Amino acid sequence: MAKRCETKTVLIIEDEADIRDFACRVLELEGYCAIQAVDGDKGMRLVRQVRPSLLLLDLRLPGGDGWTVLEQIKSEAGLSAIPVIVFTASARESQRERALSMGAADYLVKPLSAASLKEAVAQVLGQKR
Amino acid sequence: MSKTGIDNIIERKQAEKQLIVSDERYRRTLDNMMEGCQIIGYDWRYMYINDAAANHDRRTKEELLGHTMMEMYPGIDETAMFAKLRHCMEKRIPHRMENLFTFPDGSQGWFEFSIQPVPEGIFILSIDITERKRAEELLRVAEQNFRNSLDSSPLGIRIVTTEGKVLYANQAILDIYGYSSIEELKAMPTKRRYTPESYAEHQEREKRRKLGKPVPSNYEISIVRKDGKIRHLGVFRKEVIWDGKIQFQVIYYDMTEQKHLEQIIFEYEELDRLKSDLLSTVSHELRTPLATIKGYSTMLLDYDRRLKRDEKREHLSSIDRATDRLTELVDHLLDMSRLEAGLLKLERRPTNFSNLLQEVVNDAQLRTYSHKIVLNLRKRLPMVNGDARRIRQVMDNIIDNAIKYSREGTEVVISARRARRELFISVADQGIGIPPEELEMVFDRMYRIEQRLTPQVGGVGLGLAICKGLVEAHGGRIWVESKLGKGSTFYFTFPVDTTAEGQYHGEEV
Repeated sequence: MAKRCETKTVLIIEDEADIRDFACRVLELEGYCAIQAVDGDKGMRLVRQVRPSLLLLDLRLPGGDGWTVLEQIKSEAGLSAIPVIVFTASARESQRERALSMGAADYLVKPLSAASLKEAVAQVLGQKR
Repeated sequence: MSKTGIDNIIERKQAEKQLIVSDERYRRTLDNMMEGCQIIGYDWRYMYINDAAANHDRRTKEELLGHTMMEMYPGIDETAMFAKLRHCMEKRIPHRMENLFTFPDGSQGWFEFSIQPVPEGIFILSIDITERKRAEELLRVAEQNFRNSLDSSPLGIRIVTTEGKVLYANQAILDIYGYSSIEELKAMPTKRRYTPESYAEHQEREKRRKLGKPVPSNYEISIVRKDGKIRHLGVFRKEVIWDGKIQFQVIYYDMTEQKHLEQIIFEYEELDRLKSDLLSTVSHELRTPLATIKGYSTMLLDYDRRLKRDEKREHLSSIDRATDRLTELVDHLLDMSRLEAGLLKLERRPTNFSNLLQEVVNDAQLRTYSHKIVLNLRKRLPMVNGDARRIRQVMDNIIDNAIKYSREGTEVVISARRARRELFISVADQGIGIPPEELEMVFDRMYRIEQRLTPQVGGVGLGLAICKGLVEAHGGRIWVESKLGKGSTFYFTFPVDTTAEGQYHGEEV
């Protein structure tokens, strides 16, 4: 579901429909162009096709989990510059450390308020600029 | 050509001379021999004695020569040894013997004698074997000590031949096996002394041993005692010398208690791991609906004026669904912990199962548009004394699973019939099925069919564990049959309330 956007594009890879829609809606309300994928494989295809400005990534996913997606993006020369924010229900410290060491820009634990999501995205995109 | 008489005489003289020379030579040889040599005449007088023999006799040659044995050793003619000498002297039969000799000074020595009849009387060859005898005695004592230590060892010990024949078994081994004698133990066929699995391993070891292949010297076996109890033993096998031959010493140590403790520790660790897995899964499953609630409620608060009425309603129903999901999770956790603690109370009442099933199927059909729920009921069902709410919970859970794990447009068929004193209910789907190796784990808590097959299906994996707990609390059974790719059928039973039958129910199967 790639769309043409004037502003920055954020790709959301998330298998839970409600959470995916929530993140999309908040980012749209904040003026971003939000696109979504339900699993790792579809997500990777969109990453290559759209080259989003930011990726919001769930870890527990069907079809190539979030770890695989993160690893692929960070190891591919053309993609490694895309910042990835991990958005997960796992609060384990070891997972946070692992994700950050693999190159994730931030690690957000569910549940999360609309404001926190908005700030985290703005901060990572601001840093990048 | 014939010889003259003189020639003959000369020849004879020369031969006599040679004989003397040769006698002299033999005599010198005897004199210098290490073995004692003596010639005793028919009158029992010492006629010849060499240095070694005089030494054996603890006398000088001069003291002995010309004297009788009885003069030198008063009372010798009463001894067993002398009887042999006499036998040889009179019957001209050689003898060989070992004898412990006690000398007049009280000292003792072991000698080996070889007695030979000679024209002069008898010839006695003697060898001092005192040292050898002492060494043999030490060896014998050492072996006796070794056997004593085996007898009183707390470890079970057997000595077996390479063919497996038992030469020795100590008391401890009898205690381990629970037999009262070695004969009783031997009488029991080997096969019955092992558990079947352990016997198969035993046969494998024996096969390897016969083929000359390496067999571990340290291994474990499981035995069946006389009283039928199973014990786990460690076995240590090594070569030893037994009665001068190479045999096997097999040491058995009882490690049943150790194994038991190891098992308990393993189970504790397993429980610990399960707990930590459960906690992590529960935490994940709690956070997911919470993320929906937190996300949409903050969105509604923050962007209130920018959202249309319809969209707001949509978000509110997402929140509503998420709270239902949370409630269900909390209910499951509570049910599970109550079941495990035995604290779940059933409110049992005579229940009309036909009506109950019809309601369950109607409700299930309301929950899904994608699957057809079919009730296959030929006859009226008997009454069951059960907790209708809990039975409904079991049915709902299994039907919802069937829907979750099968393609849209397929049927879920519920059947029920009575067989003897049980009511059989089955729920059959045309879903993905359960791998055969996982069939037994389906009812374990936390089991979920492999993520790879059903990543889109959420849940903590407590549902079927709770179903099992609830069915069993009613005195029923639950199991599943499945073909991968074809579908699964869950079966469960409830005991029929026979006492209530006449009272509440007239029509019957």
